[in-house]
Amino acid sequence: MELVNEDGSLIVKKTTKVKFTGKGSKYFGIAILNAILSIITLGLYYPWAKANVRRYLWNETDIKESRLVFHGTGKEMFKGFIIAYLILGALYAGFFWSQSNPDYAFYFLIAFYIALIIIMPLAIFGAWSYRVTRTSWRGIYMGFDGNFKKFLGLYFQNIVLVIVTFGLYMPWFRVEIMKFLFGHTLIGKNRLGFVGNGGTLFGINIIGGILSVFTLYLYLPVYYKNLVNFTINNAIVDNGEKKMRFKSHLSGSEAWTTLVTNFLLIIFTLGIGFAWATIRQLRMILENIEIPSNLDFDNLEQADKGTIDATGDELVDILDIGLDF
Amino acid sequence: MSRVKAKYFDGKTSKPQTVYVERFKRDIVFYETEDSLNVIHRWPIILCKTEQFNHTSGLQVSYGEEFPKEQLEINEPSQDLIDSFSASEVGEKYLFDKVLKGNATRVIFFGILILGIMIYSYINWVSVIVGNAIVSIIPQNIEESIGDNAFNQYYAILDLDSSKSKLLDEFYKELGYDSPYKIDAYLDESDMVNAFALPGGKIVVYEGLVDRTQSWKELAALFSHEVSHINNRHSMRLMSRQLGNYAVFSAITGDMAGISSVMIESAISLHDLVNSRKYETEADEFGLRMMLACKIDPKAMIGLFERLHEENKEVDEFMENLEVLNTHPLTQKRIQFIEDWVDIYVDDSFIEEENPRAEEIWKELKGID
Repeated sequence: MELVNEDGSLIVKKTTKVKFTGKGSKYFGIAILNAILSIITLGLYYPWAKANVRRYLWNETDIKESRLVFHGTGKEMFKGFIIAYLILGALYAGFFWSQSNPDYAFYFLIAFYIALIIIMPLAIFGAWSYRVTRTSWRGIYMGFDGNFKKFLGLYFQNIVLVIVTFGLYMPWFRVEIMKFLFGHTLIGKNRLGFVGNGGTLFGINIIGGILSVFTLYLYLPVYYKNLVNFTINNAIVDNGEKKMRFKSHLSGSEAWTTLVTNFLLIIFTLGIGFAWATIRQLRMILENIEIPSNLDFDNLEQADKGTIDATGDELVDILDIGLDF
Repeated sequence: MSRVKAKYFDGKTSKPQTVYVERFKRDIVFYETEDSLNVIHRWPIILCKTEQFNHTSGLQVSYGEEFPKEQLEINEPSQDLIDSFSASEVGEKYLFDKVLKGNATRVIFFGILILGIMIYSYINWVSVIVGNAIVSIIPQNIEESIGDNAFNQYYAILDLDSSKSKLLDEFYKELGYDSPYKIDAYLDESDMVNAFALPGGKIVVYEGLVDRTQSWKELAALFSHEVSHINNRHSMRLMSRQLGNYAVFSAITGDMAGISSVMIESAISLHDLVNSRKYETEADEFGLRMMLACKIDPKAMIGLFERLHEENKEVDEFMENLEVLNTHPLTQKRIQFIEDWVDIYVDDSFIEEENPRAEEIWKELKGID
């Protein structure tokens, strides 16, 4: 839709949109080669496979005719991968052991849940800080200055409330986590932030859940759209003088058409179409994002080395288990 | 002379500076304009690095060792510029460059073909070897306790008759079958025509099946089959293979949309069904050998399957069209297999031995005086 002045000239709106140029066929090529290499190496290639996928997706994301670059490497992620596998191995061993010692099965279950509760914050924090600090645009790195101990404190305070309320507190929990992660993320000297409200997310979930069931899941894409828009529309950037919001223009009808055709695409190609579906879904989300105009694209300053190098704790820094929001 | 328009970033700010670059043998040279002779920068290619795959969009090159690095961005790179970064690359990145450059239809076709062959051979050979290796390091006592634990969980839904179980156990011991496991037989009072063996040695037989056997030898044939499952550690094998498959395939499908990983997983569980059918045939064969060794007529197994077939006629007929979904081979096929086996391995020199005590117990179990 074009906006026109009274004299017929075009109104130039100063908005910056994200462009996504990924192609299903190329993504498919990468994914299938990843799969082949993963089988040959009995799964050990996984971290490199992840790096390959990100390198491609980042590279196809275009902001003001400059593309994102992913600097993470398989070698870096391999450490986290090995740790994750050791933890998994220990859990399996514990499971087998508890099978042969039924008297202790209960204690194993308790230990299992405690392990899960401890791993979760590590995984969330690690994944976010790793991805952020391995991303650059025009040579400028994104930074992250969150402190893991503080995050852990916040996480446990909130997880207790989630448990006590039997999960009802979950939306507020998620919002708290996002506030922390966004709030410690830097683009140049600009700080991101999140201003969403747990109550709103709770409402989206309730309506989404109920309507999805009553419409035989036909409402699901709209629910998904609401979640995407909730996340993006509540993200802000603070340049030190002014806070401004990101904006998502994703509409229910676009989400519905894209996701339903994606679903059919995957079903009728017996799964092969997943590559095209993934690219279409990413394009749908990214190309609807409008970046606030207070971000001065031409004058971003390089982040301090400290905010991109490590969070002080090497283990946390590299532990990108691959848990996605 | 071919200069290409590019954007240069100094690594300190995001301010773009338009430059024109040209590739020489060992360097990339930067000029202010398309035809100026004024060189702004000269980057030795050996110190340049790209984080992207070639043949994707644009070209981004960073230069230097220290942070922050300078960066060059070319939206429409010439072929020789792209090649300057693929020539030096070896190994997997070369493969990815090839795939990204390749014809899409060909990539899809060969990709699926190669992946298909690899998944097939993985499931059929690699996971068998790995699974067997895992099973061979699991000690017998752990297997026994896993079986005991499963039995305790089943216990609530079983309807065991303790005195008849004792009789059945005595019947089994009369047969003289050889097993490294301590076999315990149990009798469930329900009318189902079925039996199952748990890893480590417990066998549960339903009374419905005992009632339908027409001689003690048919019951002996049933035990030979179940004990062979236990001796060959079939449950453990299946379990460890599933675990191995899961570990590898979750790594592969990690990046795929949920639904396609569900599809791959169901393909694997279909394959597990095929495996469990293989194990059934294996148990039949080992059972026959066991009967032969203990001088019990192996033909009794045919009788056993005929009873099973009578009971499951409708299911069998239905399943004939759905063999892929069946955990057990079709009864007729099993009978055919036994007949062929008997033809080959049982000759006139085989002398059957009577077992009056076993027969007596069998009669007591069936309630025949």
